[in-house]
Order: sequence, then structure tokens, then C-alpha cells
Amino acid sequence: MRKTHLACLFILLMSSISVFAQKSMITGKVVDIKGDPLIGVNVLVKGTTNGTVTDIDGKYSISTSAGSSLSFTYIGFTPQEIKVANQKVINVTLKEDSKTLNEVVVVGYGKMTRKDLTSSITTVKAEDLNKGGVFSSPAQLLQGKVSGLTVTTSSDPSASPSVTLRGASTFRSGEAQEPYYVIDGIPGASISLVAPDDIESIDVLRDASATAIYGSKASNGVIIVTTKKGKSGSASVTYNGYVAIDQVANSLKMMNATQHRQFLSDNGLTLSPDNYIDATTNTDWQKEVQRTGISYNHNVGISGGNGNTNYAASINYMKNEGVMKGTNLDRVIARSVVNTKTWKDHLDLGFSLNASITNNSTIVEGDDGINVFDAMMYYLPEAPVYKADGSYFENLNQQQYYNPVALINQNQYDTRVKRLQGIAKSTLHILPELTFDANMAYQSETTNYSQYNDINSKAALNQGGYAQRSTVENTQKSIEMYVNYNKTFNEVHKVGAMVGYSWQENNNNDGFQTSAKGFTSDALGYYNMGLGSSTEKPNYGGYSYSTLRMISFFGRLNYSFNSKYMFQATVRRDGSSAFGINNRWGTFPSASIAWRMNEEKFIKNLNIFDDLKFRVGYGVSGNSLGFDPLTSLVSYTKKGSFYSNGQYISAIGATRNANPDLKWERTSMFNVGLDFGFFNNRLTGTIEYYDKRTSDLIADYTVPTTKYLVSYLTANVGEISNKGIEFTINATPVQTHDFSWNTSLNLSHNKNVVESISNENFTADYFDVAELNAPGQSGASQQRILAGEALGSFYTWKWAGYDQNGLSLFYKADGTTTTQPTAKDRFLTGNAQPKLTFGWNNTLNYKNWSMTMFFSGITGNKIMNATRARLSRIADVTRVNVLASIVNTENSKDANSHLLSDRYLEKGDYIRLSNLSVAYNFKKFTDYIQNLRVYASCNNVFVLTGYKGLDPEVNLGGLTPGIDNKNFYPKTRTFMLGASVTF
Amino acid sequence: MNIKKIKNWLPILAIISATSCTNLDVDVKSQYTDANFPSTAADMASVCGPVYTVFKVDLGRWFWLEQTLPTDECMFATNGNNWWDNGSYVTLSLHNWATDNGQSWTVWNDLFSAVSTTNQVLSILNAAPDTDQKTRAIAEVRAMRALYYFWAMDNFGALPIITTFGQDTPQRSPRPEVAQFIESELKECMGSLTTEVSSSTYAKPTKYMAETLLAKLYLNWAVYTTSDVSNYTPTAANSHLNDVVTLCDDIIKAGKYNLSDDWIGKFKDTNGSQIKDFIFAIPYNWSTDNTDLGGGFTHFRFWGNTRMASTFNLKKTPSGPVRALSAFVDKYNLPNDVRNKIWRGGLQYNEGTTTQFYVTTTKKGYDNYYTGSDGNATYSWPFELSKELILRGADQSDYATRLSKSDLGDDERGKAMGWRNVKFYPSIESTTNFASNDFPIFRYADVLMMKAEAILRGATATNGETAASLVSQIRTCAGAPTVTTIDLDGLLDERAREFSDENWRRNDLIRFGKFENDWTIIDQPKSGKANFDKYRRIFPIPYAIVQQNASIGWTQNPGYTN
Repeated sequence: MRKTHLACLFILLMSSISVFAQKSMITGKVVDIKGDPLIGVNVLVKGTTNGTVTDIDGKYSISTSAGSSLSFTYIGFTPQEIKVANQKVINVTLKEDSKTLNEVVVVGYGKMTRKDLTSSITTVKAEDLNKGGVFSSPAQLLQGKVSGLTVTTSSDPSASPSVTLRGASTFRSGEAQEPYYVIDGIPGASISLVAPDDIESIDVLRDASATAIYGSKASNGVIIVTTKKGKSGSASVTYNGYVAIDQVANSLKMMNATQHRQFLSDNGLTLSPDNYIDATTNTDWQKEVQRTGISYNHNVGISGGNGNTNYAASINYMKNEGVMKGTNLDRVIARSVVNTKTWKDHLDLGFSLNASITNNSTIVEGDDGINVFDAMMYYLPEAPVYKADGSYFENLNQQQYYNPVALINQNQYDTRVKRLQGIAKSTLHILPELTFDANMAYQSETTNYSQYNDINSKAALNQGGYAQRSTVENTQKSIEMYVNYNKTFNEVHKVGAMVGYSWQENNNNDGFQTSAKGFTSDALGYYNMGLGSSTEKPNYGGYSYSTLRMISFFGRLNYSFNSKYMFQATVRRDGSSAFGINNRWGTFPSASIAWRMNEEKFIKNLNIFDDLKFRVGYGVSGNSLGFDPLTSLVSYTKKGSFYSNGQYISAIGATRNANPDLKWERTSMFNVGLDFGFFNNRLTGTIEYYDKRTSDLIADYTVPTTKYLVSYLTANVGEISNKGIEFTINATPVQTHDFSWNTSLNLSHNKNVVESISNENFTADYFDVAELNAPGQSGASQQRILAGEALGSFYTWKWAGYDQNGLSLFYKADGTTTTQPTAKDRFLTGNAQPKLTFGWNNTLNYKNWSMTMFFSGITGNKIMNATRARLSRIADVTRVNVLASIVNTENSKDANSHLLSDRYLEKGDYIRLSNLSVAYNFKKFTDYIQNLRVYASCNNVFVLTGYKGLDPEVNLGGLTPGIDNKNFYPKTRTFMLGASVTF
Repeated sequence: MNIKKIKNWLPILAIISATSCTNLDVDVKSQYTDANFPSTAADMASVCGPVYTVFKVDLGRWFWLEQTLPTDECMFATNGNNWWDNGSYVTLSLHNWATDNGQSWTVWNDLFSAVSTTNQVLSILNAAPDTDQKTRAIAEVRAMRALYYFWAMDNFGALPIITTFGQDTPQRSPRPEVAQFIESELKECMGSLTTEVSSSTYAKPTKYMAETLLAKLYLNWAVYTTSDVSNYTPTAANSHLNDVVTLCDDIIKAGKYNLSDDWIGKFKDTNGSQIKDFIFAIPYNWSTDNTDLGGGFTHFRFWGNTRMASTFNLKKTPSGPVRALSAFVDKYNLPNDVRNKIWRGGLQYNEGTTTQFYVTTTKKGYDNYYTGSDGNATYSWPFELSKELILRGADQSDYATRLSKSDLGDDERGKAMGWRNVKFYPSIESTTNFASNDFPIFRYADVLMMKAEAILRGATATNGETAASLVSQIRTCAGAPTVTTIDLDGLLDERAREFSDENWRRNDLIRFGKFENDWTIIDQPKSGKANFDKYRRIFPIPYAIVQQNASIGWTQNPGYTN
């Protein structure tokens, strides 16, 4: 505020001095708010071409006459104009552009400045994205950065994180729960084609008034990624790279051989001779299958431009070695873009070609014990890895029991994905205020999968080895055209209008598979399938080519009065071939208003607020993602073989009921927000409240086979609501010449309620989900979806301690206890939805040093630790290993110790120091190296939690969130050393 | 604004907007839909296929277990917690199944899925041009629908009669009306069914299949037409006994079937259209059933002890929770009866050899309850399947726990309790849980036995045949001594020997009024775990189905509480 006073004084001073029109030399120094000189500031005598730039000390001199005006402009700073009187020295302090207000925000099919925004959009710049981990997906970069966006990540190199925005609003999982990605204006483009280093910024469209422009694909939010572009000027070369070491952060304390033998003998139990060779072996199976993973990443980019043309290209190579042996990912991404202006500057053309190849290897992760993550825990420590003859030790007489080292080494699962994308973009400047955009994109994604199970692999026993390969291509074509009109009338009426058309066609699952068995040697793996001798029919897989076409018309209208009162309305009409013939087109409108109260005199006079904006919006969007386009049709396919005239031929029959009324899920969202900024915007923040209601939820409803061919029908029935409050605050508490501290905190709370799962046509009291395939508990589901409760509600048995014989007791529905609970003796015992999710980032800068500390966490959720239940199974202790701690926690006679109940439902709260990194910036390192930044970083430094499993960050997305079921990829701690260089 | 400038761009805009389209009709290239469904003769044959495959997976597992576990043939035992699965199997053996029993729910859904499939296929066939083939095909599909209805009625009692695809679910018709519906359907389609019996009519309904099914319906007529199944007594009058004889005689006189096949061989996985005893069978193939249907014929998976993977030299280890009850095995007491060979019991040898099979374990590994101090000592145990099922426990509480789950113990001894029925001899090559034995639904042997039973129940004997002479035909073919006289109890025992594991035991026991007998499933009756109520002669309508149809007045079968 002091600056404001000074400026007022200055103006007063100038107006009081009479003006003489005579040329004189004016000198001065331009500094920033910290007093640092600004180099290269444009100084121009207004209305002339007479100008100069500031030198290395921020100084300038220019000749002008009194009465003229000097303008000082510098990228990233608010321009200043100063009237020249008779002073000789004009020193100027330029203020940085208030980031939050003049920042350009990417909205669908256009851009806006933040101050004109009426909807809820969070922008995260490249420098604020998560760093310090081996990240392959943009979602990992956003974890904890955006309020309302819940990201759960896995340390598995091949896994993709799960992302949920403002609570789950579908019963379907996978793509149906994920936000919609728009990359450089191309909707639905593959996010795997973008290397993290190539990202310039990410805009997260959160409320329906922002997302509705994307209609039926937008109800889980829209994430718009903008990649780096070339700038005019001399070519610049950048390099970013790191090497990272991943270590297993936590392991479960299983019994060692001594403890296990002791436990058996203490309880009068013995080990089968099939399960060991000698009395001295002591194998730590977790160690046997784990390793320190070394990963690296290199990204080289060149960019530049000349006159009307600019270009940017980059190559990224990344190798991520998982901490589980046998899990790897390596990936190369190449991007290139050329932009030019032609046709007398009326036409902007941009072409880009992007490609990537991703190879990954995975390890077996199945049910019934065929699972490395399960096996490394359950396998007996008395068993050796190898027999004396060097072959793997296996006990073929014990079912659901596999040597985990053999599982990794005798079974290969390799996937290669190739993606290719060509984009052509054009903008026609019809009038200064009228532009026409047309974008075309063609993308192809080919997945090659190869599998080989060794002849001696217990996972594919007696098949003589099994090889399977498949290749499948998905393609996507899209054309979008839109017209934008933007004009300001009388300097106060800012009007914007946009109309557009979009056509998109996806052809998916174009591929085939084959298999072979009966090999005599493993030497060639899956590379020569013709050697297989089995006459069994190959497995051709279930690839079903399908075409999805989506056509849309859309429009938007903006009006802003003096940047004080803003209004926006959008509408989109979407058609999709995926839906029933009766419901192919839908309309998705939205409207929002904003009031920048700080522009009002009575607020301005308070001199408190630099920004104070109130926003209200309402909109409707849809969810049609993750959908087989043929779902609404009856499908006839092979239903086994039968005898017809003595020949065994294929039976062709219906496998799916038709639903001509099938349509998208519909989400309406009401959003209120308040943006504020104090102290020269050193403290800014946002509070938002939303009420999101999703109806016409798609689910498989049980229908009577007395009427239908099969017992379920895919239909639109249920309703889910999500209500929440989000709070974001950014502050710079300390700002001195050498030292600054920036801190930002975001908190979000969401309340999810399944409002209904019935309508007039379909009724269901509940859906039981999360059947965890626990031993002897087939059919016992752990979660229930029912009206009035949240998704992820645990519906389990309730533990009631022990009976007089030490057997676990459970409550019956009538309140009495039993050792043998039934499906009817289940209760609502907790919920997997967190009450609060938060992220807290701190950046400390001291001269050229900078340090960041990023904390994230959640609270108020429950996790079903089915892994612990499984590993507490006393009744099975002679055959499988158990947790070392059961000596203290379990009753040795308890045959029910492992039954899933609220006993294994644990609090999932945690606070994690996700990242701690220190960087040093060498400015102007040498003549050749303009900028060099080196950094050291540690990811997942520590986690504070009471959770007893490996890590409390279990998947919170999908239909069955909050379950740790013996397939948890160990969380890693990453140490990283990296550098970025600009030449 | 310069209007002229805009005009310059207008042609371009016009071209672009002209190319925009709003067409959302896309071709379906990879799946048959109503739009591209083929209509050639060969295709029409394929169209009928699902009628025969729709219930195959269920028949190979759930339906079989539901017919077999509640009888004296066997019991379902768990070992440790394995196979408990919310009691859905064990309760079938104990006659205390719940209304939400998963097995039963699957059987109901799959049977009516089969009915809907037949109705849908009929609607396609009805629309096809008229030919002789069409008439026969329609008759075949209706005969299959009658069979599915027969099974559903036998299991669940009153049923909704649905003959049009997609019609709303109607009220349940009382069981006698369902029986009459099946009767009239069979009578109507019988004339259009083929009388040819050859490999080209194998596994298809022939006139004789329809006659056998009708005979079966008539033989049980008194059961099906009693207003409350609990009140049925085996002496109840049956007006259709002479019709049973007439139908059986028609099949016998046709001379197209006989009992000449090697008795053991006809149930092996090499069986097929060559078996002269099979009037109607469902074919299975372990490999294609697995890939195409994800299920198949599972008898040996449930009967076979895990160690039999070694003695039979199998590629897939069976699970073995189904154990024979000794009293049933004791019915196989005739000298030289080849049928005795279906049992594996006592000391076990590698199949086809005299090499005894040993299991290397510890004393404790053999018997969890061994109390000696040398429990760790290696014990080379001669693999022996005990005839008696003995429930063990370290103390009263342990015993009670095991009793509550029919848990015979998770040690070698416990798992080896109970003889095993290997009539449907395993497919040695199978790497799946499934086998390739074709499963006979109707056999010529059953036609002879039905005639014998009808005569014993009071039908007029024909063609000089008596109950004893008919039973003797069966016995002769099995190498067992013939009989000069036979009574109903003797006939029921003969049926046990001839038709075990073929899904008829439950039907037979109900007709003979013995379904509620206590065949001593280890201590369960005296502990009150087992149930002997007569209303369990039919299964409850699955709870969820009653709920679904509550609005149109469906109620649960008598005796059951939801």
C-alpha cells in the first residue's frame, strides 16, 4: 500500500508543475518491487517510434520533450506510463503482473483473462507442478495441487493414477471416472503423448459452467494441457534430465523361518515335508522379489522462430525400473510443432506430429494365489528359492501356492504401445475481432501384447508352455471448427461470442490374438509360436471392432461490464452413436455470473482488497466416457458349440439385452465461489461451494430372465450427489531482497451420497460390491451401494471379540453373537471416502537457492486391510506364512481369524512429506549456457499414519475405493538428482 | 466493420459448413446385431444352437450339485475354511438351504434364461420361410423348452408360463398347470420330431426324447399334481401309469436303442453318438467349453481327491469336496456287477496298475489331531480313501466348530474321507476344471426302469414283460445276477446303482417319499443342523426373484421364510 501512496504523491506532484515543451535527456533506472534492476525493459516515448531498452543495471537514457509520456513495458510486469515534466531523472518501479488477475486462462475453444472468468478453473503452471518423482502421467504432476482433485498414485511403473474430481459420480469405473483431457485444444487426445517436461501449464475446469462446453464428456471435469511453444528469436535448446533411485519404503514384517518353526512347535503343528528341503533355510521372500530401482529421464527440446514462423521440438526418453523385479517401463516421446502466419497475417497455421513408444513389463497379479504381491507374503520362509538342481522350488501338491521368484521369472507379460498423432490447426483472422478456427487431429494407438508361461511354470501347469500374442489398434479422428468474436464497445462493454461444430470418430479394438501351447523348450519364449504342438484351437481373444461417432454443436456468450459485472452462458448439443436409438442427442447448458466487488467504490475505498470476486454458476454436463458403443444393442455372438446333423458347430446367440433408451449420465452442478486478494495480492485465495447431482447413472440392473435373455440390462437409473467446500490460499509471508517464502494450501471436503438406485422401471435395494475372493469367503462382498449412503460404504461383519474357546465372534443381525456369520449379519461399518483432502506447498528462495517442501494427505477415511486379514490366517499357518505380529494379536485356535470384518477396517488418515527438494540456479553460467539449474530431491520422505498396511495411499477411485487386497505395489521412496539447462 | 471483408471469407465458410454432418448411424462390423443378422440356411442352423448350449454350463455344475448334494449319494464337506463359501454348498447337503442360496439363484436364472432363449429362437424361426426343416426345428426347440420347464418345475414348483419372447413376467401358474403345459407341448411337437436315430440326430430332440420326457413327467404325475408338495405320499394315485407303459413300449418297439455298450465305457469322455443307450445327451468338451463358455462339466473336479491328480496322472488337480455316503456305496452289493467299478475307495493304486500310491507327509500332516511327540516325523502314508466320514475335534468346542461347517479337516486323513464316484471318468488331458464326458439326460435303461416301476405301481404289463424281467435286462448288461421278483424298494436300489450321479436321485427319492430320510450325514441330524421338513421337496424361489416380482403378487414357496 505504501507504493500506492507514493504513486499518488507522484501524480500530484506532476500535475502541479507547469509544462514546457523542450527536448531534454532523461535518465533513470527501472527496478522491480524488490529493488533488483530489470534488464531489457522497453522504454518508449508514447506515440512515437523513439525508444530504448534498459541495460544490465536497469538504466536507460532517452531524449524527449516535456509533456510527452514515457511508457515502460516488460513481459510479466504491469506497464507503466509516466508523463514527462521537467524532471531529468525518472526512476521507475515496475510491479509484476498480478498473476491471478491478468493470467490467461485456457477455457474450452478460447482463452480469457482470469479477472473476466465467471467459472471455477484452476491453473497450474509448469513450475508449480509436482517434481521429484519418476512421473509418467500428468495426473501425478497434479496430485495435491488442485483442491477437489483427488489423485491416488501407485509406484508401479505401468499403473496409471486414479483421478476423481469433486467426488465420484458414476457406478462405472476406469475411464468413466476420469476427467476428460484436452491437449493443446484437441479434445480426447492421448495424454500419454505428452512428456511432463513439455508441459507449459495445466488448466483444471472444475465446475459445470466451465465444463459444460464439453457437454457429454465433461462431468468428471476437464483437464486442459498446454504444451510449450516456440518463441520468435534465436534458437534455444533446453535439456532436462534426472537419475532417480527408488527404494521400497515399507515392507510387512512376516515371520522368518525360526519364528515360524517356533510358532508351529509351540502350537503342536507341523510343516509338510513338501514345503521345505532342510532345517536351515530362511528365505525373505519380499527381499527376493524386490530391488532398488534405477530410473532416468532425458528431455531435449529445441525451439525458436523467425518472423512469422516458430517451431518447437522435443525428444523425451524415460526408463523406470520398478522396485518389484520384472516390472519396467521405458518410453520415448517425440513432439514437434511448427506455427506460421501467412495470407497477409490473416491465417495462422500450426502443424504438429507427436509420437511415442512405450514398453512395459508386468508381473502376474491374479486371483487364487497366482499373484506375486500375495505370494511374496504368503510363501513359507522355510522354503528355498531353488532346489539343489537349480530348478525352482515348488510344492505342486499345495494349491493356490506359488513360488514368487518363479512367478516372476517363468512368466513374461510384455506390452508395447505405439501412439502416433498428427494435428493441423488453423486460425483465420477475418476481422481483428472475428476469428475462425479449424482443427483436425488423427491419432492411432497400437497395443502389442506378448505373454509366455514357461513349460515348468506352476501358473500354467501341464500345458507345455503357453504363448499368447495380440495386436490391437484404436484410432481417433476429429474435426472441430469454431468462430470467436471478441470486441469491447465504449471501452467498458466487453462482448465475446463463440459458436462451433465438432465431429469425432473412434474406431476401437481393431485387432486379433492367437495362442500356442505344447512347446519342447522355453528358449524362444513367445517369438516362434509355430513351434507349439498342441492341436487345441488357439485363443483368438474377444476383440470386437467398434465405431463410436460423436457430433456436437456448441456456443458461448460472454459479457463483461467494465470488468466489474460478468456474465457467461454456454450451450452444447451432443450426439453420440454409443447410445440407444431413442436417446442419441442431449443438450448441456450452463450460465454463470461474477461480480468483481473490488471495483465497486465502497470496497475500493476500504483499501483492503486487491481482488474480491463473487461467482455463481450452474451448468449441466454429461458422462459418456468408458463406454462400449455397442452396449445398447442386442449382440449375437458365439455361445459354445452344439451338434447339428452330427457336426459340432458354433451356436450363435444373443449375449446382451438391448436397451434402446440408453443414454449418458447427466450431471448438474451449482457452484458459488469467492476469490480474494489482499496486501498487493501477496495473499490470495478462493473459497468455493458446490452441489453436484448426477442422475441417469448407468449400471447393470438385474432383470428377470423370465423376460430377458440374460439376467442383467445396462440402463440409466440411479442418482448420486456430491456436495463440497474447497478452500485455496496462496501467500508470500516473507519477501525481502534475497529471501522469499511462498506458501499455498488447499483443502477440500466432499460429501458423497448415493441418492437413489431405483426408478419406475428398475428397482434395486442395493448392489453388493467388492467381493475380495478371500479364502473360503467366495461371494462375501465388503461394500454395499445403497440409497442414502456414500459410494465406498463398507458393509461387513462386525467383530465381537472371542468366545470362551478363543474363536472369533461376530455380531448377528439380531444382536447376539456367532462364530459363523451369514450374509445377513452384515452392518455398515465405515466409509472409504475421505472427509478432508489437503496439499500444502512451501517454496523458499534464498538468492540462487530454492527449496520446496510439499505435504499432502487425507483424513476421515477407512481402508479395508484385506491383506492383513489374509496374513493373519492362523488356521492355515502350517501351509502359508503369517505376520510376525500375530503371536501377540491372534488366538492360535481361532479358525475365524481371517474373516473379513470391521476388525480389518482401519483408519486411512495420513500426512506425507511428498517431496523435499533443493535447487540451485546458476544464472548466465557461461556464454554458452544461459541457465543451469541443478536439483536434488526426495519423494515420499516420510508418512505419518496409523495404517498397518504397506501404505495408506490405496486407490480411492473406481467403484470400490479404499481396499488393500493383497495386490498392493510397494510404495517407494525416491531419491533424485537432476539438472535443467538452457543453451 | 468491413462487410466486404467478411464476404471474401464466406465461400470458405460455406464449404466448411456443407461438409459438416449430423449422421450418427455407424456400421456394426464385428458383432451380429438385429440389423446384420445372417439368414442363410447354415446360419439358421446356428441360430438354434444357443437352445442347446444356454444351460450347458449350469447343468455341468450348479444344476448337477443342486440335484445331487441333497440326496443320499453324497455329502459336501469342507476342509478347513476351504469351500465353506457362506454355506452355499454345505447347506444343500443338510437340507437347510436359505432363500438367498447362490447355487439355487443361479439355477433359476439360467433355467429361465434358457426359456427366454428358446422363445427368442422361436420368434426368429417363426419369421423364416416355411419349410419341412422349419417345422422340425420349431418342434425341436419346443421340446427343449419343455425339458427346461420340466427341470424348473421339478425344482421350484409353480412357474410363470412364458411362451413369447420379451413378454412381461406373468403370475406363477400352479405346479399342476405347469405339468399340463409341458404335457401339451410335448404332445403337440412330438409328430414333427424326427424318428431317425443316428449320429446326425445325436444330441438333438427326437420323437423318442419327447416320449421319454413325457413318460418321466407321467411317472411323477402324482408328485407334480399334488396341491401341496408336503402332502404327497408315495402311494398317491397316478392316472397316467398306463401312459408311461405305452410311451416306453413305443420306444422299445422302435428298436433303435439297446444296452449293448460297455457299461463303464459309455460314461467315459470317449462317449458320443455311438452309445446306443443314450436317447438324449448334452455333449461336453473341456477345451472349447472353457474358451467359449467359461464353464463345463465338473463332476470329477468335485468328486476327485487332490491326490488323484497323481493316481490318474491328471494335468489338472481336482478339489474333491464331494464325498460318498457309506450307506449309498453299500447299495453296490451285487457280485460281479460291473457298476461296482465306479467307486474308488480303500487303498489307492496308480490307475490301471497294481502300484500302490504313497503320500509323503508327517504324522501331523496325515492327522492334525495326532498327539505323539514325533508329529514332525516323516510319514509315508499309503493313500487310502476311508469309507466312513468321521468328524474330529481336539475338544468339544473344536468339534462344534467343525460340525458347524461340515469340516472333515484340512489334513490328509480328512481330505481322504469318503469314497469317490468316478463313473464320469476324468479327461486325462484336460488342463481345466472341465471334462469331455457327454452327459446323458435320457437313457434307454431308464425307459426300461420306468416301465418296470409303472408296472409295480399298478400299470398293466405288456408284451409279456414284468418288472423283474425288465430289471433283469439292466442287470444282465451290468454283469449282475438277474432277479425273479422285485419290489419298489428293490427297484429304487437298482435305480441307485444304475443312475447314480445322473441327476435322478433327488427326483426318485421324492417320488418314493424318502427324500426326508435321515441318511446320517455325520452327527448333523442330532445336532439339529440338518433339516427333514417335507416342504424342501421343492427349492425356494430365490429371494431376489420374489422381491423383483412382489408387485405382481409373487410369494415364496410354502414353508420357506424369506
